[in-house]
Formats: sequence, structure tokens, C-alpha cells
Amino acid sequence: MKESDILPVERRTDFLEQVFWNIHDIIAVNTRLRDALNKRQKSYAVVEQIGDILLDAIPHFSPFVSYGAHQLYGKYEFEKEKSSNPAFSAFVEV
Amino acid sequence: MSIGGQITPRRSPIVYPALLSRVAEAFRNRVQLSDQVKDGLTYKDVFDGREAVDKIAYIIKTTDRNLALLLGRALDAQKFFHAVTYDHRLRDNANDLYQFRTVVASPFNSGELEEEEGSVKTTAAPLLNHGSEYASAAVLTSQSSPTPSGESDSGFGDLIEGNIRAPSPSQLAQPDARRANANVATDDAPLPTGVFTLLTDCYSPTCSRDRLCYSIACPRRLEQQARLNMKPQPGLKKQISKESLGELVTTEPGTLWIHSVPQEIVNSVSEKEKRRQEAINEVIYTERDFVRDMEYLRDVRNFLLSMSTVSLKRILL
Repeated sequence: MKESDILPVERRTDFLEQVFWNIHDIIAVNTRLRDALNKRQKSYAVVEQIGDILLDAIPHFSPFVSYGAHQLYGKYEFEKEKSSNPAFSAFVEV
Repeated sequence: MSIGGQITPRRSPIVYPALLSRVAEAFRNRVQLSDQVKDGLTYKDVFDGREAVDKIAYIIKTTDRNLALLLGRALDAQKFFHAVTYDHRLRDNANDLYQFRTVVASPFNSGELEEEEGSVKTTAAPLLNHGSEYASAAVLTSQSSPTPSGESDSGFGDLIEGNIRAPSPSQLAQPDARRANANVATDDAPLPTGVFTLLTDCYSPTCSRDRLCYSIACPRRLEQQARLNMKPQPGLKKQISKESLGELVTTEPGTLWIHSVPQEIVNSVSEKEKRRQEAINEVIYTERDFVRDMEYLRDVRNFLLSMSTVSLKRILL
């Protein structure tokens, strides 16, 4: 099995965009949130609160809305590829 | 050395006590001059040693007479005043008399006098350094000779004098400016200059009367500890830095809060607080796990984009 069979080049970019959508934005938002929470936890043995951190982070959560709204399209593309492409199906079953 | 520990100012000092010029000025304005008899001779416009120490202690608001005496000696080292008998340094004794140095005021300055005034006056800036050296050296002097005597101090006075008498090259190159300075200073002898390091404020901007200095060597620390009712610590205590990120990322996912903090902290909180801390901890490590999962997805996506076996192995292994 050649690697290129997993996802033929001609639809690779489109497919990945549909499935993964704005994952980079999701990661960016959550990395910031994680770092703030880690810092709080490291600074205090008994953490007084984390609500302030969450309140700061939530206004930046719009990537979740976009991701959620698109999730079904991604899932559809994913299932379609799996059922029509044995190489891809084998890859995702690893 | 316990001098620092004995400083118990009741109010803030009248002037910044580390600047010899300020203390000297305040001293000259406050000390009472009178005519007094010593060894059958009457001296005009003099003050005695005890009064001098009283006044200095008052100016810098200390109850530590030894400290005030040290500061007074920093002043007399620069010939601000001298014993009427010219044979000893300042002593905390009512029987010793002192007078301020006077400069003979004359519009017809002889060349010799002019040169002396000029050289004393114009070394103000370099003296800052010498003054601080002297201040720390003065502490050493007091350690080695607890009972002040003229003999033990004389060598030191010569050292200071040597510094005073050495004008800097730039000043030598400007005889006109020097002459002008000398004429200005004809009424009063120039004030001593220098920094008395023992009484300087800390360089740290966060060090104040009511906040303990971070530095264990800070001269105000004992005073701060006394004010804050703290027990003086025998040494530095290790404080683990918790600010930097990194360590927690490698922590096992889902570690319980009670296992991540010292037992005495666990024991010090209520059952309800323990449950609350576990809930907070769960939010935090869930966020860590989530980011880790997202990063995994991102790597899979990047692999599919590039389709390289090497990167696939990197992801899956």
C-alpha cells in the first residue's frame, strides 16, 4: 500500500479542511487557557478560584462555535472517505 | 555587628541621614554654640562632644549613640569641626570641646589659601566614593577600637585628607572656575560631602519600612523584622519556584489534588474545601488533557497533509 493511497492528492487538502476545520484556532485558545490554569495551580497550593481565568478565556471561545457548527459536515466527509477508500479505512483503524 | 539592630527610629529622620552634607547642614543649624572653659582657657563658639552626639542622634532619629558618634566622626574626618585642642576625634563626652572649621573671609585671598579652598571645594563629586568607603571603614574602626581614641583614628583622618587634597585633572585644568568656587565659599567652610552607607536606603524599590526586603543583607532588614514582629531567621530558606511552566505538563494525567500538595496543607483544610480543590484540579487537568488531544489531532492532520512515513512513526510511536 502506498502512502498516497490513504488520501489521494487531488482531494487531500479539501478533505483535511472539512474534517479538521479550525483546529488551529481551538488549540490556540485552549493553550492560553491551559497555561493560565497551570500557572494558577502552581502558584497556590490551595487554589482560591479559577472562575476569573475562565471568564477571561470565554470571550475568545468563538472558534468552538465555528467548529461545532461544522462538525457534522466533517463527520460526513470522514465517513464517506472511510466507506469508499479501503486504504483510508485501514489507516484510521490502526 | 549589631549596630543595625539597635537602630530604633521613633520618627522619620529630619534629613536623609546617609548624605553627610545634609546631616552637616542640619547639625550646624541646630547645635548651640557658647563660650566654654577648658584647662583654664576660654574657647569661643564651641560645643561639647556629648551635645554633638545628642544633636546627631536627634537629626537622624536614632537612640543608638554609637551610630550617631560614627556619623559625627564621618563629619569631623572632613574637617567640618575639630577638637579645640586639635588632638582627638569626636568623642561622646561633655568635657571635650569642638569648634567648626572657619575659613578666613578676605577679599584679598592669598594664592596659598585660595588653592586650599579650591581643592577642598572642587572634590565634591569624587568624594562621594571616598565617603562611602569611609563609612564602611568606620564600622571596622569601631570594632577594632571600641574606646575611641585620637591615636587610633589619626591614620584614618590622614587617609581622608589625602583624598580631599587631590583635585581631579579636569579641575586642575580650570583655574578660573576654581577661583570662583573659592570666593563663593568664603563665609562658611564647605559642607562635608559623602555617603554614609550604614544609613543609606536600600536600592531595592520594594524595600520599605513596612515591607521586608528580599535581600538578607539589607541593612534595614532587622528593623523591618522588628516592626513586622517577625522572628529573625538564622539563614536563607529555600523557596521552590512555582511560577514557571513545564513541570506540570509531564504530571500524570488525573493526579489527585491531595497527592499534589504537602500533607500539612491537606490537613489544614476542611472536607468541603478538599472536594472543591479536587473539582478545580479536575477542571485544570481536563484542560491539559484536552490541549494534548488537540495537539495529537493536529499532528495527524499535518501527517496526512505531508504523507511522510517518518512523521507517521513519530505520531504513532
